Parts: sequence; C-alpha cells; structure tokens
Amino acid sequence: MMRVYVAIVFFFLYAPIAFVIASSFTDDSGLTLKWFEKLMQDSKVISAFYNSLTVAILSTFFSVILGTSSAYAFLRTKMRFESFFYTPIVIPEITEALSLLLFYKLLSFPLGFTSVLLGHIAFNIAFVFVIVKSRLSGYERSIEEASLTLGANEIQTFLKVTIPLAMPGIVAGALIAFTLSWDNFVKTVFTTAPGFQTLPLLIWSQAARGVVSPTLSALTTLMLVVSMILAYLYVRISTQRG
Amino acid sequence: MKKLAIPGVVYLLVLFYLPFFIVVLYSLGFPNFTLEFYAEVLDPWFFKFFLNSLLIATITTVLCLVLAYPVAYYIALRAQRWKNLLLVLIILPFWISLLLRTYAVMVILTPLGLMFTFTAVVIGMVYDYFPFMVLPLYASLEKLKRSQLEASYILGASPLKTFLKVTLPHSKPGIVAGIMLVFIPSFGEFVVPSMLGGTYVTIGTLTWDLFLRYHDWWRGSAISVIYMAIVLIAIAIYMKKAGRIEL
Amino acid sequence: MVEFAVELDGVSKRYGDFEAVKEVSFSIRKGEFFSILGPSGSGKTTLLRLIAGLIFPDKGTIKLMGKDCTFLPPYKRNIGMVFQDLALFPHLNVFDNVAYGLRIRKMPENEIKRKVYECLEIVNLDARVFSKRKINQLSGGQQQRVAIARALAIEPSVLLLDEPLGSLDLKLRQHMMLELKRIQRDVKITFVYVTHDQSEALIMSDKVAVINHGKIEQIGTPMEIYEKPATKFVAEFIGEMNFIPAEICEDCAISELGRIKVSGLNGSKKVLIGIRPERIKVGAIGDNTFRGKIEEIVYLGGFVKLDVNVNGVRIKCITSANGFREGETIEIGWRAEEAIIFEA
Repeated sequence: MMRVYVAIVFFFLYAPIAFVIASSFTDDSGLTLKWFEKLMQDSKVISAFYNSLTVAILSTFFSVILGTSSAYAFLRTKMRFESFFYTPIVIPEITEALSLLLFYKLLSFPLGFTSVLLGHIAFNIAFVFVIVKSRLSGYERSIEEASLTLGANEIQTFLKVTIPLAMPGIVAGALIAFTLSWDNFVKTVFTTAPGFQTLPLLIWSQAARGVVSPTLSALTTLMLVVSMILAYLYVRISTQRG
Repeated sequence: MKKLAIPGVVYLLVLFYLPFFIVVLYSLGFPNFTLEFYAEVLDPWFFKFFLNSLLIATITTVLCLVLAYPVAYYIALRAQRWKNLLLVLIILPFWISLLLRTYAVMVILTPLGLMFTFTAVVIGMVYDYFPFMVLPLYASLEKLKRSQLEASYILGASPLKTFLKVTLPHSKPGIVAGIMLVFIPSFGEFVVPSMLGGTYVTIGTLTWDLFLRYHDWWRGSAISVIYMAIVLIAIAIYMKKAGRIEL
Repeated sequence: MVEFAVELDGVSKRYGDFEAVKEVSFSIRKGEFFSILGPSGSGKTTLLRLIAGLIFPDKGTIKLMGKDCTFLPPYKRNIGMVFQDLALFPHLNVFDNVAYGLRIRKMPENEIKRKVYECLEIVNLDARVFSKRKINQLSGGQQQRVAIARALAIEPSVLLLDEPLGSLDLKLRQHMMLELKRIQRDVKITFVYVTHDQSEALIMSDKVAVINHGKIEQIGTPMEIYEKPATKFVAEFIGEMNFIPAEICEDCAISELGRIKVSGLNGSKKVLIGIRPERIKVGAIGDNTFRGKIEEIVYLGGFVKLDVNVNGVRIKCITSANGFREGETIEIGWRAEEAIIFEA
C-alpha cells in the first residue's frame, strides 16, 4: 500500500517536468524541433547563453582558487571559525542578493556583468570551501610528511602529493560552483542591469508575466539537460577514489 | 601556511559580511539615524505580508512533512531493490533550479486554469520544497536498524506503538532538520508567489518590490534585518539542540 | 669513520606549558636496532619526529652520521621513516610508491626499476605480482611491507619506525617482528624503533631506551633492562614486579612480611624490595621463605600465576608446578641476590 503511495508521489514529482519536455517537442501537428530552432535564432537567447556561460566559468575559476586555498589553510593549520565560510550557504539567498545591491549602490559601482560575477564568486567560495575541506580531511597529514622524509621539499610535496589527492574534491567543488552559477536567479536579478541577461533571467522575464510558451519550454528543456549532465559528472567524480 | 586563507577570507569579508553590515546601516536610516523604519514594521499594513508569509511557510512545511515522511520511511526501511534508484530520483530535482521547477508547475497549472490562486502558490511551494524535506527525514530514518523494530515487536509492541515509540522519536532530528530547511527559505520566498500567485504578496515579494521597484532601501533593509534575525535565532536554537549543522 | 648514527644532546621540546621531551641525550651506534620504549604520552613519538626533522627542538642538538642536523628539514637529512598509519600514497600504485623517493632524486628509470624490485624482494613481496597493484588492494601486512620498502629504497643512513606494528593482529605482528629483525640485519641500516609494546622492544632490539614523561629512565640491552631495571618505573613497565616496602636496619630489611635478607644495600633507609614473580619459587628456598595463603590462581597455559597473601602483603609468583588450590597455604621464597632494591 505504501508502495502505491510512493509511486504516486514520484509520478507527481516528475509529471510537470515530463510535461515541459514533451511540450517543447510538440506542436499542433505532432513532433517537431521547431521550437528549438526558434531558440537558436533568437539573439536574446544566444547572448543570454554566452553571458550565463561566461559568468559560470569565471566564477567557478576564481571561487575554486579562493575556496581551495582557504580550505587547505584551515585544514593544515587547524584553524577554527570555519563557520565564517558556512554562513553564505545557510543565509537565505534574497538577503544576500539585496545586501550586494546596496553595497554596489553605496559605492556607485556600475551594475552589470562584473557586479553579477563578483556576487557569484562570493557564494561559490563557501561551497567550494566546504566540499574541498571535507574531501581533503580524509587524507592524513602523515602522507605529506612521508613525502618530506622521502626527499621532496614543500613545493614538490604540494605538486606531487597534495594536489593529486585534492583533485577529486576540487573538481567536485568546481562542478557545484558551476551549477550554482549557471542556475542562479535571485542574486543575479538583484545585481544586474537591464542590458545584461543570463538564461534564468530570460526565463523569468517571460514566466513572471504568466507566459507559458513552447519556446520557453524548449529553453527550459535545454537547461534541464545541462543540469542533468552536471549532475551525472558530479556523481562520477564523487564516486571515484571514494 | 595560514596566509593561504587570506584571499578567501578577505573576499568574503568585503563581498559578503560588509554588505550585510551596510544593510543594517540602511535599516537604521543611513545616512541619518532613526528607528522609524523598524517602527513601521509594526504597522498593520506590514502585518498582512508577514501573515501571508507565515501562512505559506507553515502550510508548505506541514504538507511537505506529511507527504514526505512516508516516502522517506519507505526508501529507508522498506525498499530493498529499488532503494538506490529511488534515492537518485529524489535527489535529482535538487539539480534542477527552483526557477525551472516552478515553471514546470506553471505549465501544468495553466491549462487547468489554476493559475494566480492561493492554491497554485501552495502547490508550487510544496512541489519545490518537497526534496528538502525528504532527504533529512531519510537520513535519520536510515540510521534506524531493522533489528530495533524487530526488538520492539518481540517485546510486545504493535506496529503502531512501535512507530510512535521507536521510529518517530528516532526520526526527530530529521524532522527538525527538514522543518528548518523548508520553513526558513519558504518564509522569504518570492519566486513562487510571483510566478504562480499573481497578486499574492509575501515578505519576499514585498522585499523585491521595495528594492527593485521603489528603490526604498530603508524599509527594505529593515524588513530584511528582521527576517535575518528570525533566521539566525532559529539556527542558533537548532545548533544548540542538534550540536552541529551537518552539511 | 663515524661511529654513531644518531646523537642527541640535551634535547628538549615543549608545547605551551607541556614539556614533551626533557633534556634527552643518547647516542645510537651505526647498524644498531635501537628501540625507544614508553607508555602513551611519554614523548617517544615526539623524539622520533625530532630526529626526523618534522619538528625542531627548543634546546639541544641532533647529529646524524656526525653532521649537525638540528634544524634541517626532513628532505635534507638522509633518513627514511615508516609512519604509524603507513602514509602510503593512495593515488600511486605499489611501484610508484616505492620509486617516489628515487624519482625525486632524479635517478634514471632503469636503475629505479632495479632498485624497486630489489627493495620489494627484501620485504618479501613479489615485484611482478605487486608492482601495479593499488594500495587499497593490499592487506594490512602487505601495506606494511610496501611502506618499509619505500623507506629503504632511498638508502637512508637511519630508518625511523613509529609503532608500525600496532594495527596488525597478533600472529602477523609476531611474524613481522622477525621479518623486521631479518631486514635490519640484511641491509645493515640503523633502525630507530618507537613502541609502547615491551615484547617488540625486547625481541627485536640491540638496545632499548625506556622513556617516561619526556625523560629517559634507562638505556641498556633488553637483558639489562629486564634483569637490572634502574628505576621503579622501568621495573614496573617491563614485565611484572612485586614491590615490598621495607626499612633497612644493619644487614637486613624489616617489612610486613618479617625480616628479609637483602644484598646490595645502597644506603637508603626506606626502600622497595623488587622481586620478579618468576624468581619466586614455591617451597623453602633458603634466604627468604614465607608462608602465605593462595588467594587466586590464574592459569597461563604452560605456567600458573599464584596470588599469595603473606601477612597482608600480596605477592605474585609464577611457577610451572601445578596442583594448587585456592585457599591453600604454601611456602614461597627467593634468593636475596635476585631482588632489586629501589628507593622508596
């Protein structure tokens, strides 16, 4: 009996998504790819795509560097107050978003690509920190000490032992950072200017007015596919050398 | 070696903690100093927003808890062959952004003509936050061993009694975690009420309007500070009771 | 030619208020199997890490093969180290683990292969089978051997071992003890071995340094440590010891048991007479014989341990005779020369 209930729940959980995917491949006459074609021809969609991609890649790059170095320092020197890095994860997004907006306003900092990017890096650092730190803790300090006793100096040890061991954690953190940046809406909408749109912003601009269209569904489907690819990559990385 | 942490720490100080401080300043009337904006929060007009948010958050949390508990129970304790697959299916929605999932709800509700109603908002909220409730419940139920249930039966307790006296208390940490993970964000949620509720107003939509439409930094900040305070108090209580936040 | 592989002189190390190592001085001969034996928290691991160069002393000097290395980092000392948790590189296979130090030294690849195979053979691992295996595919004992091979590959002048056998089960540990002894004899490298297990120290070592609370209590051969413990701590820590409080008067001692004949008086008034359980015989022995009631009998396989109550003092005695019953009254005794006198 419980089985039936669970099955129903899962059905309702996935029905809307299935519906969206289905409606992006159909029109009145049957199966079609024309909605995707329309997307490719829409210059707003193309530019939003490039914006999303650029912000995601850059914010991942910087947050990985800043987050990993901090995680390593905290771990190896047993510093406390790591909750300093946990706060961005726990605080509601809207609060973070509006605080950034005020910050920029106060400094008369122009809104647009840079303001969005800086905001993304901020919360991504926290996630990278947490993931890398938990991955690195699994390896005892003695492995690095062993390298020192075998004749490698600190730099050699860092390159030949520490980095390879931390790599799965770093990649996992990078994937999470990329996903969060790519999907991000709340912080982006608060810190952007009318000229700069990312894909989530584009979706919102239509959906917020109650518009439901096959083209929008097609865009949603594409975003879903990207999410699934990122999820798959993350799981593969996480279960490697577990 | 400690110096490695400096770039990260400095970045967060400047682009996370400092902005918060600025919000507090604005809530106090920056560049002047006044408490009038906090006072306004006690006005009846504000109360409507507060109540709506409270209503939405509470209904969402309760519904999520009731609907998710059997699912978590089943996956943790009953499903043997399907366990891993079901876990994956539960976690998958996490990877799909809230915006996309809410849009999916829109796509279903539009032909049904349920858009822009209170029901729509509730449906959307429950749909979006359901996974947040299932996982903590699952995590705590998972720790319950089959043998503990069997021991209870042997000692003479009926399935119902066993549930009430063994299972439920055991899952308390999960319930509390789930409530925290659903209630707190849904209180300040604005995407779902905006997309599905039309004119339904909450703290979230109010904050949005104040900041992005009316550029009213001061009232907006005051409300945000209050929301933040509620969140921090809730977290502090949780940490005291639970020891540490598991991430 | 340098005589001493390791020389410590007045070495001290403190952490905040806690003095981990206090004014430790000793020398280890080249080719010696030297153990540092002590309970948890005695400072033995700290000492080893000081010799390794992972930490530096607050006072004193450390010389390795005659050269002052006190503040040199580990990679500038020619040492090898086997860690308590082995610290093998999980991202490298067996071959690459053993070859690690050689690659750092930029040895040509064909020489590396020869050396790695040689070291794996020394530790009794078939290189052809194990070279490509990942570390997590090995058993505890096999990982143990790889860790030793890796440290030996760089031909260190001193090999440091930090309680390497702790995680192995009893039979494996006994086997590995003999293996380590054999390896040390074969490669003729100085071993500095840290442990809390006295049987390891007694079985394998040429010399043992007993350490407690950061200070060296005694240094000697295993036999010296056991038969002639210098302090009460060493007497208690190694093997078992009966302690009988007594007062010296003229040529004998007065205790709860009565008069005890002693030899080797050292001038103190209040003493503890130490006598090992296996030196106490059942029956009238001569010098010192007392009657007591058997309170407890513990069967030890080939031996029996009797807990005998003599005038309120409990004496433990080990004998290979049997047929005792609890509550029985027996005579036990020992020869005066076999007791050791400690200051009370």
